[in-house]
Amino acid sequence: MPPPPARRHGVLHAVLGTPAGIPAAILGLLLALFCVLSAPGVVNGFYFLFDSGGALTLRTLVSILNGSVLTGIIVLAVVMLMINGEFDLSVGPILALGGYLFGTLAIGGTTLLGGLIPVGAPLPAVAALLLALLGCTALGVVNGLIVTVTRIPSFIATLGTLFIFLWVVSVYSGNQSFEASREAAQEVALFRVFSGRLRDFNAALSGPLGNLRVSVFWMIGLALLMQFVLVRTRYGNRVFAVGGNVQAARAQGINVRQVKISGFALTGLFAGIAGVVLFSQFGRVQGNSGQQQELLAIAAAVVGGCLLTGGYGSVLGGLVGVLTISTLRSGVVLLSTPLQNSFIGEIPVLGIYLVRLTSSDNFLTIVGLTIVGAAVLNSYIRRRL
Amino acid sequence: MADGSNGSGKGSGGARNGSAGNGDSGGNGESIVRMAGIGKRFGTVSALEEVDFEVRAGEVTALLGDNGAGKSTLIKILTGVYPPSSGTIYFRGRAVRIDSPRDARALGIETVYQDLALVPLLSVARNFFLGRELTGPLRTLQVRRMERETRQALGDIGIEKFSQAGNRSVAEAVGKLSGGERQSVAIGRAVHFGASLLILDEPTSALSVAETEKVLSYTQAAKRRGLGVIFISHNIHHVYLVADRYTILRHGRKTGDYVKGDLTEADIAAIITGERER
Repeated sequence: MPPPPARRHGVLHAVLGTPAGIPAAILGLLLALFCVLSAPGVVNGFYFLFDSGGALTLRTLVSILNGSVLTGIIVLAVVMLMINGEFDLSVGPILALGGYLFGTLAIGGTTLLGGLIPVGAPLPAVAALLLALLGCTALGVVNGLIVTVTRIPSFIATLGTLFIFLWVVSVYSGNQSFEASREAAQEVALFRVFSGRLRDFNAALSGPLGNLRVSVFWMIGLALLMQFVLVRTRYGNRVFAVGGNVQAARAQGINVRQVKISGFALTGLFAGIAGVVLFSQFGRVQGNSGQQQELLAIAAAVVGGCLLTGGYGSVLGGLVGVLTISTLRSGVVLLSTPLQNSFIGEIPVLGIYLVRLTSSDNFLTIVGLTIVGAAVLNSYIRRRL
Repeated sequence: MADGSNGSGKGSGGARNGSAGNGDSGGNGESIVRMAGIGKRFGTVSALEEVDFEVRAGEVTALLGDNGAGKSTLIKILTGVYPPSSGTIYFRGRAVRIDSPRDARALGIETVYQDLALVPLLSVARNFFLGRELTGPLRTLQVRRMERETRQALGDIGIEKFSQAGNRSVAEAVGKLSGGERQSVAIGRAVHFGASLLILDEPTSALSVAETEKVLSYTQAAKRRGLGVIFISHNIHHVYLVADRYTILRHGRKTGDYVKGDLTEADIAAIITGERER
C-alpha cells in the first residue's frame, strides 16, 4: 500500500535539489542534442563523432565554453535574483564599470573623470580587483535600496539605473575606452589567473583543449557554489520563500528587505566579476562592453527554468541556458555552409530564408525562438510534474 | 478621553461568566492572554471600544462577530500588527507590549492565516522549518533531519498523511497539497514550535466537509496539548463543534463571553446579528 515517496524525488531531485532542476535537466538533454546537430554532422550523419571530425567537435566545444563565460557568470546571480522575484536590467554598465575599475587601477598610466584624476603608478592587482568588486557590489546595493525602500517594481527601477549607471561609467572613464598595452598586460599575472588559456599554464596542452580559458573553471566553480548556497543553506531557503510568498516569509520572521538587497548586491558583484574577466581576457573595456548582457542573462535564466514571478529556478538550469545560447551562437555559424549545400538550400524560395536564418547576423533570431520554445516547454513540464 | 466617555467600561466585560474570573472556570488552564479595555481608533472611526478578551490554556475560545465587528482588528492588536489606542495586554499575567509580529512570535503567539502561511513552491519540510531552518556544523541545511522531524511532528498531532504509510511526502511542494492539507501543515507547525497561543483565522472557510473535520480535529489536538486556541470563523456550525467559550463582538464592542452549553447555535447567530441582546 505505501507508495514510496522517494520515487518522485529520485536522482534528479538529489542532484539538482529543487524541482526547477528538472526542466533544466531536460534542456540539458536538448542542449546535448543540439551539440550533436550543430556540428556539420547534421548533413553528414552522426558518424563524424567517431572519425577525424571528432577533433573539430572538441574545438567547437571549447569555443562554446569560452564564449559563454561572461553571461555565464552573470546568470548565476541573476537566477538568484529572479528567484527573489526581482530583475536587474542594469548589469551591463555594472560589468563595464568593473572592467574599467579593475583595468585602470591595475594598469595605471591613465586619467579618470575626464582628466581630473591622474592614475600614474598601478595599484597591486589584488587591490584593483577588490576595489572593482566593491564598487560593483555598491551599485547592486543601490538597486536593492531603491527597490525595497520605494517599492517600485525592480523592472522599472533598474531600467532607470541602467541609464544612470551608463552615465556613471562615462563619467568615470571620461567617455574613453581603456586599453592595456600588450607589455603592461603581461605584467599583471592576475589577468592570466582569470582568463588565461590552458596552454599558457601547461605547454603540453597544445591541442584544442589548450584553447580553453581558465575563466570557464571560474564560471563552473561559482555555479557550484551558488547552487549550493541556494539549495543547501538557510539563506537560499529564504530566497525561495521571499520569491514564492512574501507574506508567508514575513510571517515566519524573515527579513525580506535584507534578503532582497543582498540579491541585488550579489548581482552587482557577479556583474563585476564578469567585468574583471572581460578585461583580463581582452585587455580592453569600453562604455558599452556589457551591452545586452542583462537580457541574455534573463533569457538564459528563463531557458533554464526560472519563473518570472519568482520563487522558482535553478542556478545549474541558468548555466544550461547560457550554454544553450552559446551553443546556438556557434551552431548557427557552423550550420550555415552545410545547410546551403544541402537539400534545404535547394527548396525554392523558402530554402533561401531558412539558410539565411543561420547566418551569424541572425543569431539573435534563433535565441528568440529558443527563449519562446523553452518557456513553453518549461511551463508545460511544470504543470505536468 | 473619548474612551472614558462611553460607560460600558469593564462592566460589559463580565456579561455572563466574567472574563475577570481568573483560573478555573471549567477549563483546565490558567490565563494565557488577557486583553483588558482594548480600544482602537482609526482617525475618527472607533473600531474597538473597551473590549476585554481572555484565552486560557487548554481551551478553544471562539471569537465571533459579523463583518466589521472588530474581530480582525482585535487579533491584529494581539499579533502586533496594530498598536492599541488604549488598554493593556497581559500575557500569562504579565503586562506586555506587542509592537510587531516578531514580538508576538517571541511570546509564542502563532497565527494561521487562510492561504497566507505557506510558500507553495517550497517543500512541506522546508516550509515547516522556514525561518528556523536546522543547520549542521558547516551551517548547511540538514534537509533529511528537517524532513524526519516534520513527519514526526505532524504525526504527533494526528496528521498521518505524511507518515511513511501515508500518501503524501514531506519533500513534496506545498502547492500540490489540498487546502486542508496545507492548513494542517500550518497548524502542525504552529503547535510544534511551542506556540502557547494559536490563532486560527477562518481556518475552514475554503475547505471541503471532510477536510474541515480533519482541521477541527487538529484544533482539538492542539487544545489537548495545553495550548490556548482562538478560533475565528463565520461558520457557526464549525465554531459550535470545537469551541469551549465564545466571545462575541458587535460594532466594536463585546456583547459578552459565553461558555459551551450556554447557547445554542441559533442563540449565537441571533447575538451576532443583533436580533437578540445577550
